[in-house]
Amino acid sequence: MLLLLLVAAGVLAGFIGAITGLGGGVVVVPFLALYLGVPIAYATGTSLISTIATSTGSARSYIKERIANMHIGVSLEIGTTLGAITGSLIAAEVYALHLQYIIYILFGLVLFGSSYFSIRKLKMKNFVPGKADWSTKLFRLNGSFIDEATKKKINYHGRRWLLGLAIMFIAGMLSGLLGIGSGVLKVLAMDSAMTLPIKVTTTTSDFMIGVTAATSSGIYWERGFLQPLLIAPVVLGVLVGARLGSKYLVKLNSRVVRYLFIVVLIVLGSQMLLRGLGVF
Amino acid sequence: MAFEDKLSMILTIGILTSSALMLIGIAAILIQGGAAGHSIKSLIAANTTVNTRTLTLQDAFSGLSGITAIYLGIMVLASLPVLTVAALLTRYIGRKDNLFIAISATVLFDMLVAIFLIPYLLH
Repeated sequence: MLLLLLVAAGVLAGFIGAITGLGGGVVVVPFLALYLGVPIAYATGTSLISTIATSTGSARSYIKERIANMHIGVSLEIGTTLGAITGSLIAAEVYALHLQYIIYILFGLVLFGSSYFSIRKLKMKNFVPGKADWSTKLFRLNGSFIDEATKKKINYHGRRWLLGLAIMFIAGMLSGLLGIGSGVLKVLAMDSAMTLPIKVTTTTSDFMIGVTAATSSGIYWERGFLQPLLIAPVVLGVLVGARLGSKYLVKLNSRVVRYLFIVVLIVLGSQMLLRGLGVF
Repeated sequence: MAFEDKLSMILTIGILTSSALMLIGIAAILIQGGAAGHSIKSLIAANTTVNTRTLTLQDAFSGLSGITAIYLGIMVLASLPVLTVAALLTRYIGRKDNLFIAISATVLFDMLVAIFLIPYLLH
């Protein structure tokens, strides 16, 4: 029974992760910790490995379809990898000191904060490119893609690379600390700070999530946060879900993706916060 | 074949290999009633004490079992992002793109330090 529930959690996480760029961790961690009674350290460890699967499963499609921007992704990975090392070392200390409630509260707050920024962003009618700056040319933060919803070619360019990098460091740190892909912050960094279109941010984020999560995996392995029989069924489910999700993303409207993104963040954020405060 | 298509193919093969290993691992554990000296009950439980610290690589690979396959599957999966960054580095080297050679080499270095060196120092 537990095996089937783990597979089901994986399918759901993979689907949501692929269409929102969240990485799936925001579903896996609360589901395992709140509903299946899995210790939060194992839940985050399972999530960390499953985000590699989600990310890689969808990234391979986006890379092939040339929606993901590899230049932008790899240039920002400097921030996420350093952040991931910092975050996973902090996680090791948090669990050693039995301060698990911090993880629940932080998880809830991260999801709430992210939903706030996403709601604010919904007021914008269409994608409006920002003014190019020094980093646009230096890091070649430009590209184009065909929007399947409108069948139009969208040319875009990013800017404020340094701000994006700083947010990516925090994203990487939260990824290492909470076992999530931090797709929330990665999308926000590229979307709000660097003014890139949502489809480019979600697909590039998918490529980046795997790199960030893999960086933390060695420390998680050594600390014993990885439980093989929780990971295997969730990962298998995630791969099926991610395949379904990546099929739908190119056909979905940007606003639909955003609405789904916000609902998931608010529901799971509330539950995690209440658990951290000892209420739920 | 374009770089993006090759990379996509490598990731596909990696994911298929990893998921096949995990599936074989679960099936073997269910058929054999456990693995590496642990029963199914102690392996498939929310609060189990069996993890990558208590069941080491040496334990997992001392004999072939379902755990060996799952550990291999996890390692294959975790290696895919490393391979992606390494592939990007070789592409930038081929293009003599110095800025992106430095960037992708830094990312690869961070990853390798985090995966191999830091856990060794923590142990």
